[in-house]
Amino acid sequence: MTLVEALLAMGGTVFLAACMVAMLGTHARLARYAAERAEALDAVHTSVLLLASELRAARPDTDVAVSTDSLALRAFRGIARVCALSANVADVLWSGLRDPDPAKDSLLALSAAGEHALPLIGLVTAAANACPSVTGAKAFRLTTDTLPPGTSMLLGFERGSYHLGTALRYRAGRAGRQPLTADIFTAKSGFTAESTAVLVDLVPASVPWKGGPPSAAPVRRRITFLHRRSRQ
Amino acid sequence: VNRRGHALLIALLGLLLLEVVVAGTMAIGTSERLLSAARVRQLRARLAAESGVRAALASWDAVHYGALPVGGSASAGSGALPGATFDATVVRRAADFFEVRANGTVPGPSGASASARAAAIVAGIPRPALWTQFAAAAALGGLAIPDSLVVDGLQAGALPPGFSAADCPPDALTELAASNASLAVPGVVLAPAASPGSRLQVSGAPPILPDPALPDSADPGLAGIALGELRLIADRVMAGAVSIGPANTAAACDTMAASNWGVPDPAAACGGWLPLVYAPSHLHITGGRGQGVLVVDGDLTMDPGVEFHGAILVAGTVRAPDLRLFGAIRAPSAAPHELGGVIHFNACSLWRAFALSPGVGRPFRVGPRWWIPSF
Repeated sequence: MTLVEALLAMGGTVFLAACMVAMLGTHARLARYAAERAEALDAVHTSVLLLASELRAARPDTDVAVSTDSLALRAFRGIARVCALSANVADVLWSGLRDPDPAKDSLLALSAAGEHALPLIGLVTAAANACPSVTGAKAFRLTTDTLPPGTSMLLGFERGSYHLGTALRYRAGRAGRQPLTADIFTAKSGFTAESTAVLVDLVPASVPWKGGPPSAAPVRRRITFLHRRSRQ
Repeated sequence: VNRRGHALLIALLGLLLLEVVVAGTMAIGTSERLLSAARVRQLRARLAAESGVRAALASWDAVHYGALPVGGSASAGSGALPGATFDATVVRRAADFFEVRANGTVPGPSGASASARAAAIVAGIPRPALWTQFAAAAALGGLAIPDSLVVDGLQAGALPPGFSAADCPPDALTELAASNASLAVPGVVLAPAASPGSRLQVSGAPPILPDPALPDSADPGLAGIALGELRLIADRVMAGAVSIGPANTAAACDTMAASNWGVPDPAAACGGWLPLVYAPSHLHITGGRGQGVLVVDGDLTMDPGVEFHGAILVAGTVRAPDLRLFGAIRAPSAAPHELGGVIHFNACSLWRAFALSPGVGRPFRVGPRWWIPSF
């Protein structure tokens, strides 16, 4: 091997090594960008889907109170279909996100006469033959205040609030705020009340990418309530 | 020394590195795409479920659902939207209370499970309130009898002429007893200052019941629904003069004919047609037979010989010198309603009108809450 050949080989090797280092660096930044973007999109999707599922069937006038950075609501947690009813005791089939909890939940009795708010005072498993067996539902005996005659369904709610700071957080009752997403939102995120909807602005912190789009763009979603003023 | 393999090794290492970079990027992109697609399917499924509920309400079968026992359920149909399907179910939760549920489904890509969501509303029907509103053979703000008027409130359970026991199920008396605690109702509920005169032959429990709430010029409403809103749900909206009677096409009842208010004959083609008729102003029935629920937001004139089976509610003045009514009439305004003929309070006629009238059987939002979360 001549000196010229050695120098050329060394130069080529150095060039290749430099390219690889540059590529690795780029990929590391790309991976971080992609991960941040995925995390931001996940946070946005989670927030939108969660808030939509909570708000879609809520009544805007009684169930929801909106401020810039928080959204207080009667959060639906389950539905009880009445099998048997006495003055203040109902055997029910419960389907919900979780079991009813007298420490947290209140009830809304539904009948042809309208709706009636009640506390949930006690809860035990219903007798075996109190309700028919239905897949996905549990039989409970609920104790409450005097139930309106004709009550055939009970909705279970808990008091809660969603807070939009650096992350979307949920606070059940007076408990602490639990994060539901990564800490990725900026202070420009927030809620805006409309007569039939809630506007949710989600502004994730963006990772810069030279020559490319920001890792996450601001998102505005309008969650429209199903309840309207009109009467069917 | 042969070093020609070094370049190949370096090239292979470079390619491997490139593959790792590309594979990593593709993996992130693929998972993001799958995640987004799954969420789009969930959203579509939820919208399909909500569409299913709305479709079930729009095609509400009052007769079919009104016949369900408490706790019973019936399919309310299924349908398809682009990329999604739904199936709806109506469940009768109480005598006057229904739950309408629908499941929306979006098939997943090959090998993946389908996305499914549910939606539901609660709705009521006004039948019990109707029994309360028509709990007397005649409720009148004033009364003038030109010839003679026979009012019977004691034979509530009697079969109307031409009807058999099979046409009048026990539900009629059961519902009447549930709202009145008795199968006998007052004959005439009358404003205390009004005098029935000597031309009235009345039986009932009691025969005549003075009601301080009469006369009442306020909108009487039908089972809590303002009269003006009835235009939206009535099976027939009409005013002016009409001679009523059944109309048939071939062997079927022509329910689109304006003058067809059914016929009180269970064997006839139109025997099961009992419309909710709403007149926004003066209505003049010149003759014939009909059945159902008649609401007049004005004056009502019925020429001699008109026969009606069901409930009549009049906001203005009634003039019916020779009426044949099986059911009940309510006219709370102060005008001296000119009535003659025969009024039989009849549970079967009223039950048929309340249970079989499509307009009366429409579902209503019973309280401020209409949609309920569902699983």
